[in-house]
Amino acid sequence: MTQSITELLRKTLLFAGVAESALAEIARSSREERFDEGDRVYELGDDAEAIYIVAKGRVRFSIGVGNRAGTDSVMGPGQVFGWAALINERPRRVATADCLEPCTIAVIPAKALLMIFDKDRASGYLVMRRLASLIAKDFMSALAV
Amino acid sequence: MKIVVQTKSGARAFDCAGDEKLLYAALRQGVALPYECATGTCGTCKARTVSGTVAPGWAAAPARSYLKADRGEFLLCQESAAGDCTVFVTGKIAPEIESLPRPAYHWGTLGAYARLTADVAAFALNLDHMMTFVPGQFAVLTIPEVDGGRAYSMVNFAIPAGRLEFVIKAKPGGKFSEWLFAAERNGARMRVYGPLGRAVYRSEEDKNFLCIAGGSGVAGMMAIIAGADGAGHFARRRGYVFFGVRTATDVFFLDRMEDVATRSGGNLAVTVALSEGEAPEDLRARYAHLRFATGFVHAVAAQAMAGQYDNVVAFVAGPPPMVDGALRMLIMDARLPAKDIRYDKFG
Repeated sequence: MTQSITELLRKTLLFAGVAESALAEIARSSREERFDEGDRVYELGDDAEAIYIVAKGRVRFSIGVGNRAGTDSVMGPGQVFGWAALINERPRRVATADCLEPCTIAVIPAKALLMIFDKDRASGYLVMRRLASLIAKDFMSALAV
Repeated sequence: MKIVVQTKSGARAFDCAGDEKLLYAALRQGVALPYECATGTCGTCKARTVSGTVAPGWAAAPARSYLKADRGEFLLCQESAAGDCTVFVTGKIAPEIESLPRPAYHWGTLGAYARLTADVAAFALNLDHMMTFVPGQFAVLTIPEVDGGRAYSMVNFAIPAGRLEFVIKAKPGGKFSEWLFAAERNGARMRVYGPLGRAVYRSEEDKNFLCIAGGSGVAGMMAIIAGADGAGHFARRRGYVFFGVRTATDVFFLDRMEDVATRSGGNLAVTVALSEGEAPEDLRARYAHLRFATGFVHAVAAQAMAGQYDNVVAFVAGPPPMVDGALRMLIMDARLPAKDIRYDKFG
């Protein structure tokens, strides 16, 4: 399982350029979970303790009221969601994530990830910089509503 | 036609006649299928055909972007049955729906049409038969001139109600609102399916309530205020209402709010938040029991409510960016549990 998560991390844009040793450590601290069609990964108000990468299937990610239909809120393989776990104090979910079909998802505990980045700050800087771009993109999309 | 619904928790069956939408047929027969908007927007009622065929409904329903046609996926709120069929529903059956009044079809005659502001109108439907609903619920209105139904929250509250009041905001390109705003419509007949929705106020919960509403989103909040008033809520609990509009010319329903606030012994606190400009003195003088503030309504609510979230259930409605801002505030700042934050997914 660790090997498949490492492979997934290598293919995920958010983690591009991260040192192999850090990727291996992230994979070791992560787990793969299988979800049925219709299962909810998390919902509004849940504590945010992990980030997620879709390995297989499609996940519908809805911020807030979540009625703004659009394909950009459907996550496929290699896409990351749930990054709020990395950026806030006592973070809680302000979105819901639902599986539109049977899914395999890598679950990366946020605390472990931040500890790994504390040790390998160059890798952490890369990821956080991409995360900032991701958040800015979401923010700009929201402004365009 | 016989419809069998398979779910992870077992199978249920119901009858569906003619071109009736599968969701509507199920709900009126007490089969609590998952739904939220009931009008093709949210996708909560997604299902998949196992056998038989469903007849296609509104092709442009926004929630179709979440479907995979090659998997036989469709929306229960949009499609009807082309014959007996078996479908698989991925969402959870919602048992809490069973404790709410069962929806049914009604007909009503439009009356009391009035423009409240430049882009908001009110109207009433005098129903042919009484309807029972819970404050905060909505109904789907259909007219022959426009394809598909539109969901609107009831403004008034009575048990049972022979008259339903609604508000509607003019929406450029919105066929229903263009129809309503185009001419005098009193006397028009309208089909009503309802009541629907789970974002409801129940006096027996015995909680303080907080309403954060923007523009015409205040509709359901008015029913909550009326329901709470009728149930004697303000004799023992508090209500906090924050009503956001752009300018002082966009306010409406302040007479009703003032009336209840005056009688509430201070237990209904209504704040009108203007996102642009200050409330003029004459408005403040006319509504002495209401408070006025400047700012986005969720920000005004956050400031005023600090430290007052004990035993509170919150209701949110309005334009999506406002609702998102309010939900974020209630979750991150107020730290309310999700079960105590209620809103509907139509807008």
